[in-house]
Amino acid sequence: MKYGWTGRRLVVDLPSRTWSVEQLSDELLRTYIGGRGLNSRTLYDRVKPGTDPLGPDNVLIFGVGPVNGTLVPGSSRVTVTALSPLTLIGDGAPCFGDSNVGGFTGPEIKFAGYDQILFLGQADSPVYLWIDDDRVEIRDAQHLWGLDTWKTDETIRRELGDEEIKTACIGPAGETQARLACIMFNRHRAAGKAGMGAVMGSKKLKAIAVRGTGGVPVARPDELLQVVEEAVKTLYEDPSALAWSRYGTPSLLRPHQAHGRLATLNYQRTQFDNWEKITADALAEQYWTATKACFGCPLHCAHWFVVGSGPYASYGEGPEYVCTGGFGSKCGNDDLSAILYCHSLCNKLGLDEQNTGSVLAWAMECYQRGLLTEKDTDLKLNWGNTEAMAELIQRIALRSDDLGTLLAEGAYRAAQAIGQGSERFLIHVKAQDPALSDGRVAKAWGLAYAVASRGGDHLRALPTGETYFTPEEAEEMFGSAEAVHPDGVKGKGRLVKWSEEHRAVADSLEVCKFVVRTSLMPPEWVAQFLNAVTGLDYSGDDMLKIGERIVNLERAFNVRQGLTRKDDTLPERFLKEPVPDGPARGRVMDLEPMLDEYYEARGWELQTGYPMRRTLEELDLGDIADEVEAMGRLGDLHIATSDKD
Amino acid sequence: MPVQKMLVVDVNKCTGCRMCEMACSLFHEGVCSPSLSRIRVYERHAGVEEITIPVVCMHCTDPPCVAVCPMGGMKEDEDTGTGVCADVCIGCRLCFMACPVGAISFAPPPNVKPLKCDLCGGDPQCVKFCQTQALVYVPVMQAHRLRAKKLLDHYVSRRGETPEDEGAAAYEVKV
Amino acid sequence: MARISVQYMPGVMEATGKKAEIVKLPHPDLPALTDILLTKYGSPLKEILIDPATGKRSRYILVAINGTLTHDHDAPLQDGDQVIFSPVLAGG
Repeated sequence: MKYGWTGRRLVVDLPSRTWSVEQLSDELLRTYIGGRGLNSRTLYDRVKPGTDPLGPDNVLIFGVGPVNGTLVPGSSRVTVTALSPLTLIGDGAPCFGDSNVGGFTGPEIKFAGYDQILFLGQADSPVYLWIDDDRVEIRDAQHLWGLDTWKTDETIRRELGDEEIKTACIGPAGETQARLACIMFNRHRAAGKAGMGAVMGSKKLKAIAVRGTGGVPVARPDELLQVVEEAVKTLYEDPSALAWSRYGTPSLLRPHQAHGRLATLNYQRTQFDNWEKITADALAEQYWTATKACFGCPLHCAHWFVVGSGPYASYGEGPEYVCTGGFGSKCGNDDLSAILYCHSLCNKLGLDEQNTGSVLAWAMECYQRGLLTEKDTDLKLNWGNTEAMAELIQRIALRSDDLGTLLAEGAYRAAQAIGQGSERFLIHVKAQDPALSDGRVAKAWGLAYAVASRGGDHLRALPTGETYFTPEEAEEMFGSAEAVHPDGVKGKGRLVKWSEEHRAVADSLEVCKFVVRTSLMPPEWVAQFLNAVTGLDYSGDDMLKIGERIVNLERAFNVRQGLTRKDDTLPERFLKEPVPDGPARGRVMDLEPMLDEYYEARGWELQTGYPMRRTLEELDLGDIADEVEAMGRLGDLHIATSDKD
Repeated sequence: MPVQKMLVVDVNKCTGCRMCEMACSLFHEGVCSPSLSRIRVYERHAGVEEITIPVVCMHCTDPPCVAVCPMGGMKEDEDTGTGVCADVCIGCRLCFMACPVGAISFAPPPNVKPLKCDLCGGDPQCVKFCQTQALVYVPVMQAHRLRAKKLLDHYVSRRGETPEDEGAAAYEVKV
Repeated sequence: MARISVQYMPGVMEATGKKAEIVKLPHPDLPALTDILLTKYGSPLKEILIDPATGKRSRYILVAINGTLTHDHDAPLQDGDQVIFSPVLAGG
């Protein structure tokens, strides 16, 4: 009897519309855990350099983990992995891509009996996958092609005759292969990053529908009941749990304004004049009607909203801070109903809100500076013009005009096309917008954006330890109390390393990072969850080592694709333009010293950022060391320890 | 005589997290599975809202499930007063048909047996893990207070202090 | 008398019932400010602000003075300073 894991991978060959089930060895599962870790290994093994992300040789992988579908708090998550059509490294090669999402589809995949679903090739016409426990069908989806994500979900559940079916689908944006396209799970949760929706669209895969009536056997049920009860109590000892459970991520807007980190007018400023109109309180007062949760989560950070009337009437689940900031302060917009309308559009059309908000903001700065004019678009892209924003979102999803088509390529490619210096105020790392938190203000976050394996991203590290750990703890764990000082440099690299490993493990168990980051839930707790479910005996250090393995694996994938140190950088605005206003005025990022320390801590060559053999071998990735060595891309021990002390 | 308690469900507080289903199936079966849970959460669209509704045994004082069982397998538990099922089930499903709430379901073949809430012998796990108190287990003689709370709070707030100004309020310290 | 402008972030503002206020202090420093606030708001604030094990400020509460986070529990304050009390809020 298997505990936690199902041990089964569903392989779907789209060109032939056939499927098979592979057994996953215990060794493989214990080495990578599952979810993101296993997905990354699968991607590494199957996708070679030179692959076109929107071509037939890319894969699309959905991974769940051993504790999905159990009592473990936040055990809802799914990772979707592929070579990214959005992110870029080296001389313009695509880079590692994945996206993590909550909701209810992940546990359903476990209840149906799978740890991973692997899609190969491209179908010749639209299809969707139907998993009904053991029974698998690849069904025609021509009648669904063109439908928005809500209609798709509703139609599938009706035609298959079961209201409890869970779906994951693309909308029109995935179908047009907009590089900003996302995959919507259960109508309301988005796998947004790195253009996974475009890959799904390129495979003519409209949706996955799952129904699972099984369950997840637990090795030590009494222990799990006890450990979870304690964990929930511990979570709520942290007042951030109170903020999270009442207001969700929109609670971040107020502190970001207060601390001077609020992305405003495409990061030209960090203070937004009418910020009070788009806070969580404003949402609670005007539009939220209920509190919602993802599967298995005691933090229930989601909400239901209703805008009952007016030009921006809409309803649904959400929004997240990425949305209130992204379509709010970043675009100079203080109309909350319009923000919610943009959110509804993105969810139904299947567009990632973070990357879409960022491309709108960049386009608006272009318009401000006269780099985009009425010659390029009939839309008046003035800051805060919500009508133009809503219209442009639709044109991007449908590629229905020149500007929409251009922006559907993502801000980086659009900037290459427009030129005229527009690249200089593009906020991106490896062609993806990092996040709403200005990278100049919290140093560990700036570093985290620069080194994230899937391009600009705050969740790869989510280095909240920069504010959770005490100076004494930082001294012990990261070699310097400066690691937790806002203006510090020493210790930040090691802090980000530790954080990335902690998050990689959560992503592989498929537990929500918002749960494990609360109360500074240490790796030992995560190990406890995993052990109670699987009956194994991992320690906290084991967890961090597996996290380190996953980070190095993704790094090696990128190195194989052509990544070097020069890709681990930040936008010019963060490196050269000091913050012009607010409490953080004058701050700017000095990345190189922190990057040096990070590489050193990681065992990567300072000059190139390539992992060294010893590092890879200690993580049982010796086969990978051989491969990158043959390409001349193995890190060299001697260079790494030369002129620095 | 032990204090009689009852399970009270407040649908408005349910977030749809399903931790109740996980705790229930884990406690009774050692497997986390909604299909093996005695409490089920249903999702429904209601106009522009999506709501989640927990459905569980209401522990009738005159339980039809106990009355119809031809094997005498469904009995009233001494401590909790609820119907509990002994191991003599023949799978006739009369209990399932008699339940007015639809709170009895069946474990999948081959182990066909009724899935019937037994309040975990007096310490219901679903209640323990419900974070929002959509599920509570309270003495019967106090349960009505929960339902009256909204109205009572309304009257108290109308008579109490007026809310302070949210803006800058001076707080002087006398030297 | 120093006027200190204080802000409370979500997670703390529930204990004070306020998002912002001006506090006047004769001897301005962080301990004095904390004492006054604890006196004013009592146990709801104490529960989240003070770690019962150490009697000192909880590691879960961050204090920023004029936008810069400080670990110095005895930090001095000046007239016109802005102090923010916040839990560790992060994500997106």
